[in-house]
Amino acid sequence: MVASLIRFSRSLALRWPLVAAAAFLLSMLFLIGNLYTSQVELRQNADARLVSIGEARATEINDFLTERRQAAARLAASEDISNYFSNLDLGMSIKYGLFANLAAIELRFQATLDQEKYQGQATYLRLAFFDRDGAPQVDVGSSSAATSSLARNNLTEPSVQIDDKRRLIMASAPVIQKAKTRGKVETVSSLNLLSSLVSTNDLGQPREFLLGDDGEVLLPIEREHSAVVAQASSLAALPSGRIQALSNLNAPELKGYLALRSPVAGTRLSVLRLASEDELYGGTLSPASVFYLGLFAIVLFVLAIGFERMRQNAARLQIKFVESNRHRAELAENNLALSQEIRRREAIEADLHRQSEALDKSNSELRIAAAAFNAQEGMIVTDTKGVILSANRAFVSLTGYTAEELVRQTARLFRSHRRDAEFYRGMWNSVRLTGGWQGEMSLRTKSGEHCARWLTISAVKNETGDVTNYIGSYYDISKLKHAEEKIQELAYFDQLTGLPNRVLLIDRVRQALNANVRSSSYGALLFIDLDNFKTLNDSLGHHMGDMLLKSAAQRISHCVRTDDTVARFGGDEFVVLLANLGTQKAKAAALQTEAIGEKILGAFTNAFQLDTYEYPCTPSIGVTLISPEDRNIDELLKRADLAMYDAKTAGRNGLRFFDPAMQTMITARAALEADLREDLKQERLLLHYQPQVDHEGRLLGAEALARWPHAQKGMISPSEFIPVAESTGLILPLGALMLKTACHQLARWSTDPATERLTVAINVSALQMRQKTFVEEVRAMVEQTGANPHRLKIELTESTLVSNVDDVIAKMDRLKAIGIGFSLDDFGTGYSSLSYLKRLPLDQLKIDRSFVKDVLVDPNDAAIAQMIIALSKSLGLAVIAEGVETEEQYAFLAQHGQLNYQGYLFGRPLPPADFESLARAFSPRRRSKQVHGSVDRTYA
Amino acid sequence: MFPKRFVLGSLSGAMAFLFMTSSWAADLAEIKQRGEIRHIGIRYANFVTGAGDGLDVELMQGFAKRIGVSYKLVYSDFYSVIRDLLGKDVVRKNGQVTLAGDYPIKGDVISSGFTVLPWREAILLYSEPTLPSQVLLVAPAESDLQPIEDGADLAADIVNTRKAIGSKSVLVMERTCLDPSNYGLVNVGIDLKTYNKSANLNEMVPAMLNKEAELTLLDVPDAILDLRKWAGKIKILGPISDRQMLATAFPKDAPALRNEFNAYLSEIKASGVYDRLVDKYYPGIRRFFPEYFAKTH
Repeated sequence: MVASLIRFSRSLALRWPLVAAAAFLLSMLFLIGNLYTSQVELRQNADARLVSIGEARATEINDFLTERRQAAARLAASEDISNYFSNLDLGMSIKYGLFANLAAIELRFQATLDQEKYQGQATYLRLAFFDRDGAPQVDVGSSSAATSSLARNNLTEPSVQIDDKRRLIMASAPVIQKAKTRGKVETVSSLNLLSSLVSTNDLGQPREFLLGDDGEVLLPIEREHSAVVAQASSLAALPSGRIQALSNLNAPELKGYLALRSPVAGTRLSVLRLASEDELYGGTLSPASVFYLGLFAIVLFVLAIGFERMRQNAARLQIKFVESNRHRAELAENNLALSQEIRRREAIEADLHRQSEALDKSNSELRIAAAAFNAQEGMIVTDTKGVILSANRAFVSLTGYTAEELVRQTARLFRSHRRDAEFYRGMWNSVRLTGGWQGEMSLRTKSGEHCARWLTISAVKNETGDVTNYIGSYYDISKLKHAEEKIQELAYFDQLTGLPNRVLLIDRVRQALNANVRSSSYGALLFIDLDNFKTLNDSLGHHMGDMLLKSAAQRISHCVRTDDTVARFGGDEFVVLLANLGTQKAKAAALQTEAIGEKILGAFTNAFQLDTYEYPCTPSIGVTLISPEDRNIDELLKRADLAMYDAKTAGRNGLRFFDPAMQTMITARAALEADLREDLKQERLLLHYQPQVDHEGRLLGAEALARWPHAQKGMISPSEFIPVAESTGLILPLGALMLKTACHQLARWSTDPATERLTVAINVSALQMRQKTFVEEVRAMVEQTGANPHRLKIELTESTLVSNVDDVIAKMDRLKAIGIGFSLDDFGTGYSSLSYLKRLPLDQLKIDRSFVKDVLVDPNDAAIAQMIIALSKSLGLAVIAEGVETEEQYAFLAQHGQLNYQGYLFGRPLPPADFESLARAFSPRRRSKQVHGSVDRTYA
Repeated sequence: MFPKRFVLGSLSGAMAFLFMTSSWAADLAEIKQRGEIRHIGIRYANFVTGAGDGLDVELMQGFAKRIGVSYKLVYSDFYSVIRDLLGKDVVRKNGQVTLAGDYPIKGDVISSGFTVLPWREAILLYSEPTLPSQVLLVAPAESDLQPIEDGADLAADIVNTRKAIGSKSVLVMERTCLDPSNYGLVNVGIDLKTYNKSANLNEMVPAMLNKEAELTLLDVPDAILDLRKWAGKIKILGPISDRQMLATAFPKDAPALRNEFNAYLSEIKASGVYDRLVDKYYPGIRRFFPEYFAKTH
């Protein structure tokens, strides 16, 4: 089956002209068929167009005539004619009355005549109004345009008449008044107005005529078509709406013309359209012509095919002859090419042999290079852009990366960040300029370690001298580096204690001096010598001495900050460098240094365990402050050394300042601390009470303020003893004493009607608040003294809340439960977090005296005070302003809310007896200017 | 007292006349010098409509243009119009006309469908007629009176019309063209109702329809407008007067002004401007007075 198909297709291929001829014949038949159909449709469309235009013309003429009828009817129904008949019915005479109506009608007719235009021409020739008897009452326009012959008739509805002879269109409409015909209105128009509706005789267009039913040619006016005029009666008799050939008419001019008659509805008129076949159908072929043309093409094509077949047979014979000649020439040419190919291949074989020998030699060299590449040192080969092409085993094990991970990476993979970008740029610039580079390099392994290597980069060039690759060799220099570090350690550190030695200490002192100059801060040097060290060495040997030195070094190191330096200066001498004490005041620097010195002294309180021996050892410490102006290191060391000897002289185990003034200050402070400690034990400290009033000046209570009457020095300022108490921890017994005293005072006041309602506010420090037993102690105190806890108010500072707020809140809640109130002191000066403010069980906020002081002059302080008042209001807390000293301050605060007040304006802090007198005597506000207290309140 | 007052009035009128006569030659010149002519108009039919136009308004505007002065319209009414022109009040008694009192002169010329009447001619200078007129008798449409059959004789028509009045009341307006004394209707037994709510002749027909009288006098210009306005509600019974002429009036001492106006009137009648104005404001009046308008052409 397939084989027969193949055979058939081959036979067709051989007869392709025949196949093509057949296909062409079919396509020709198809085209002719389509052409025939198209011609038939074109003619039908042309016919339909002729008919539709003819009907449209008839419709337009009919519309014009209808409009004339309607216009006559509108005039007949006009108000003026109606008025005329109304007045006529009233009996008015033409002379004395109706003249006015007739004038109005005439005016209207004249206006219509003047204004109505059709295609730019006056629509009417004449307008007339007739009474019932047919007598014209109003008549305007051309009198030559005759009116209807039916001047008196029984007209019942508008009508149109065509006067063929006079070429006029006359429209009439009855005047109907009260359902009776009272007259008529008649309009006369020229028939020529319709000429614009009948198209002109343009060449190539159908000709149009308006015919009367009697065969009169009404339009066009020009009678050029004598044949049409002569045959008009026959043309007027043509059936309407059908295209007729005029071959039967006895008029040679009209032969070959087609005619269509379209009657104008409701009239005797018809529109006649004449068109020749060419005008109607254009230059198109008739269907029969198309058919014959197609047949002729087919015959012609069959003849052409026959001739072509004959021509092809002759050509085929000629081609065969030429082909056999060409084959012979090709054979000769191929023989020549074959012999040339054999020679070329022999030459290639010889060249291959030579290359094979060179390759053997090259392989041998490569094996040597490979052995070198796999040496102990790490090596990589990169391209010119630094992309790694291969890495040897040593480099793989050095970096921890596999060979696959390294290939296609750059050296950035193991580049150490210890070198900056500038270093690497310099390195690569050298490589590009000189073809190599070597230097120390820190290499980062996959695990993140850094190892020191000596890197040598060599460029590899090809035969033309261009760089093709770079080889990087990494030599291990870690041992060398270790040795360097060891040397440095020996040079700068003491081998026995591991502390910086004299050399390093001096270097650091130099750095500290430079830094302190920049920051204008103080530092300090402490020269420490172990007391009686020589005795130990002599009695128990150097080994024990070394052990003591090591232990002492550790204890000293624990007493200083990480930024400070403890150095072994030699023998049993240590030097501590406090590089920067963070203060620009000598006094503060001295106190800090003294504290550290005391800490070091304290560190030697316990004996040292030297093997089985317990050996007590004390240090003598000499201190000198390093001022920003100090530049001489030897001088500083000398001062500290001298101070140390002074301490030795003073009995060892002590600390001495080189500066006498510092020493005096330290001594005095120590004496004050001792006295305070003693007076606290003896409960010699007192409380004074500063009045607190409400917004109307009524006494509410007092803030209890600590006062220390010293036996020798008189009354000591709280600003002097409170810091001592805080730094030495004496603030705890002081706070307890104040609380106890205040509770006793409350209990006493409760028995007196004048003071029973007064409250006492007592300040509690952060240290007190952090005590675990604080709540229990307060409770016990309240119970023991019988004080009303509702009259006791604890004032906390913001510093109390800096750490462990939850613990503070828990303690406040427990105290609140027994009725104790809380006031937040100094609000706005520090921490001031709104988040804790919401959580704390507070009763009152205190506006700090610093804001109150400048409330009238500093807009910021005024705004803060207002904000605190507003905040308290929204949180439901009371507000007390402290430090109110003038009427103006009071007035400003009072206008922003109902506050409580405390300050000199209302009363200075008073001893208990004076305060009680005040409470009994007057309202504090009114008496404020007469009351004289002792000192300002500073314990806060 | 009466004779004394009469004498005084006559004397003052004569003095005024003498005074005016002594300066009559300056009339046109003074107006030209002043640069403005003041037209005294009465809101009446389509002569002076009150809306700034009208037959007489346009006539006078054209005249002002001709003599090269600006034009100003001064409104007045039928009772005050002569006083506003002459500065004297008119007193008519026992057929005598006198001028009395002193009033401000408000204008230079009266032009407002102003009927030429003998007594007015005694104190005013009239121009050539500007329009013909006639007084008609009008009844409501439902009236039992029938219009007369018009005949060829106007005098017979007037007699028939007056007979038709009988005992009916007639609405009239004194001191105007509808003044009954002008037509011998006073003291002849006719029930005359004087309309004095305003001096506007346009209100006569509405007043009659409002039953203020059974009949009314009406001038032709108003009749032309009212027959359209009140078509089917009124009917014209017949004529009460002869043909009258309406003309523009001037002070006696302004003959130059009057002459200049007459010249102007002739010119516009000849040019057709006058006919166009008449057709614009009184379409149909040419039908009523065909003889008059035949003359104008």
